[in-house]
Amino acid sequence: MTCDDFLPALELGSPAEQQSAREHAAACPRCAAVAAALSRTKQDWATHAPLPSAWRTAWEQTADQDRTFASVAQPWTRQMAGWVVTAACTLVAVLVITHRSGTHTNDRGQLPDLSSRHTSPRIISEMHDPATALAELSQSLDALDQTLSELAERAQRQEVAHDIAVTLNHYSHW
Amino acid sequence: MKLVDEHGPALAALLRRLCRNAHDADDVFQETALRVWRALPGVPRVHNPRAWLLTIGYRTFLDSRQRRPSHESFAESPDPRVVAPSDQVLHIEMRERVQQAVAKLTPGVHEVVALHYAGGLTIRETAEAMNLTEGTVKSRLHAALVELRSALE
Repeated sequence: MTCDDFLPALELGSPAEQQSAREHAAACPRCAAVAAALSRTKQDWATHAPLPSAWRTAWEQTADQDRTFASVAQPWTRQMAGWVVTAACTLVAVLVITHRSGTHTNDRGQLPDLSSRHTSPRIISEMHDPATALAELSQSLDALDQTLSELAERAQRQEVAHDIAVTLNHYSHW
Repeated sequence: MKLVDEHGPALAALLRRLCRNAHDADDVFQETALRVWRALPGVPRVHNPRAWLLTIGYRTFLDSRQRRPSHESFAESPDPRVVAPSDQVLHIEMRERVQQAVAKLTPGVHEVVALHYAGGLTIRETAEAMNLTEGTVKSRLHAALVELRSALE
């Protein structure tokens, strides 16, 4: 082993290469001094100063902010919101398709024979009136919005109840 | 808070070495905190908290450097802890020489040195943090050791 190979062999070599490097250092004072210096340097780098108090405070503040975020967005709450949004999207899609098929039929001047289904004239006119369909969509969205708000409130109430239960359970052991 | 109590100092030391100035390191530390708290709910169990935290810190540093590449200062940020005993003048001189040698390393090699030696990550963990192969990490460490040899003599 040469002096140039010594340090990489000692640090990155296989166990056999490291052993060979140590044997080289035993016979080469220059490499032994380099190994000792590297060891001290590594010790310096691996010994860390305590975290500055300002940095720790910043970490705590971030944690507090994120707890607030997490409390209104628990996984099951998000899952429930996901279902509601999916249902809303499906409903909107169905309404849009119904509306467009009605418009398309009107364009061709071919009204479907709805009389055989005993549908009243009022319903037929509503189904093919774009303004009415839009109004229905708007009402549905309002209703969904309200449902989401109620669900969010309910979720918050349940979480508060859960937190209280956990706290009571914790202190009941005292 | 256990995470920051146990591994925060290592993260801080790593960021100081990577950023090379305390101001940028402070910014990256805060952004790392944000990413950690956002990531925690989605992580069922962290097997190696130190490597996990330092990897997030390193990647936050990379993003920060992409946004502000010109803010980089190549003066090595000294570790505020290091107050060497007065009788170790030679050790202080050697440390200064090492710091100068490290400051001259290319960014890729410097990052490997910081993660492996200052962060305490293994070669494998360093490779995973940097999305490199272990061979590449070893090759960069080899280059660093060749450069450091003259500073250590």
